[in-house]
Amino acid sequence: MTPEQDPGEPHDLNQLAAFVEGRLAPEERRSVERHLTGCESCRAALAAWSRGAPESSFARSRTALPIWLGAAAAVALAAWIANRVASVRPGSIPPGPEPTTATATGAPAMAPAPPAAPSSTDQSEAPAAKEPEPLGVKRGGERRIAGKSFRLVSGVWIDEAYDATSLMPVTDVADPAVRDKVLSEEPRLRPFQKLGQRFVVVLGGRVYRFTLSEGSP
Amino acid sequence: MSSGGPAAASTARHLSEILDRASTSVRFRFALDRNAFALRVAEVLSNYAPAIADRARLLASLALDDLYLATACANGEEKAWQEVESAHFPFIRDFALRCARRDPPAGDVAETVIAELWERGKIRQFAGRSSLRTWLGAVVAHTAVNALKRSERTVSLEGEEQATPVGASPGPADEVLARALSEAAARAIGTLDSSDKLLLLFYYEQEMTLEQMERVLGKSKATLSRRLERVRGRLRSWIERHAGRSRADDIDLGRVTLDLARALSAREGAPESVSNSRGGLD
Repeated sequence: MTPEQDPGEPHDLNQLAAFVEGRLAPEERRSVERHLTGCESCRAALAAWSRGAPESSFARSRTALPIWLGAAAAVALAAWIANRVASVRPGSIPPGPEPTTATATGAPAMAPAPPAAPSSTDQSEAPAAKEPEPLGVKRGGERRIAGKSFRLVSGVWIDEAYDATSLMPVTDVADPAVRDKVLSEEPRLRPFQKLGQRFVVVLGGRVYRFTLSEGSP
Repeated sequence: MSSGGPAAASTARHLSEILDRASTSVRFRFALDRNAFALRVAEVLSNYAPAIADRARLLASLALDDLYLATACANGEEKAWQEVESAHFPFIRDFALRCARRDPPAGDVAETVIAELWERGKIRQFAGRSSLRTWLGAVVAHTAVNALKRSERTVSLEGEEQATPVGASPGPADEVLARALSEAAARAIGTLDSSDKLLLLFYYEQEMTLEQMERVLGKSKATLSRRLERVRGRLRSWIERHAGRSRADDIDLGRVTLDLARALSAREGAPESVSNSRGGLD
């Protein structure tokens, strides 16, 4: 495989780890799949890895966030989480607000990776099937407010319309004073306050990231 | 600026973008400063995304805080090592217990990994493509597999009896049929795309459960189960077309012990003959 590896080691464990975390771009994922079909050693390593993976999520740590959010969103969320849980032991996931809808399911024992690179054959699959949450991402549920759908990811409600790769302008709302100002300028954001202190919503071609601390008024 | 002007400007933009990302996702808590870390990130980007156009996406996907921690460790920063030791060494030992078989002992695997991280500077190889924890899991898993291979080679050299494939040693007529069916199955498998081949390899060769495959492939058990069924159906159809229906009926793919790796590597271009495929067919 590639670059950052032991000279005597033909397999790039960085790529294997990124593979199981669903972080690879489709082309690179296919490349790793091709490698895996011809490399018994890497297949055995992944099989061993799957035995070692505990029931609780660890593979997708707090820095590994779902691809469906878009890579940039993942970075933004990772940054947010890093800021919020700086004092928390690495690998742990901060608790999020409890969802209030019936779809809330709580954290899965071991949620699998996101649909990072569906094969061509996936297109023909019967629609089953809600795709499971990525590993380590605390799944809390879904909510619908003011015509928008939100999913709870690692304690943050994310607007399903959010696509960070679209490079929309972002307004960060991290303290109550900014929040009040933003709400006065954009009253359509008010209904989403029901989501609590931490949510990402797309409105009027702009992304609003609310990342207030739990104790904020 | 004539020589290298555009390249220098591009590099400067690049580093600026890295610093921008890092400033929001990295806790700069060690002596390793932003500029030095940005150079390490640039190195990773250059290694994994030779095309400049791919770098923004790759940058966005990196676990930068973990990469910062690993880079500080690689630079010999004691505080960084302390963080790794307290946050990840117990995980390494625990993970080794779960993923290693009895032989080699899990403790040996864990201590080997820890020693390599520390003494051989293996942590320098972490590139932030995943969380540090998942990468460490992959290192432990690979170490366990390699140790197992070494121990198997030792056992073999000591002359222990080789395992006989299940379903082998039938009578001569059965053997011919089994071999023909095995070859047909191997050729059919060769028609599948990589992801379907991988599915079969994990399921039959590695004997992974759907739950384990779910962890690795990131698809739900239900999806994987349907895909397996569909691939099996496709193989059966192929064999029916090419080897006749009666033969297809004889194949229970769930019991076939195919030498899939050999058959598949033949399709991937390695010199190979499918005739060596083992045939636990019934």
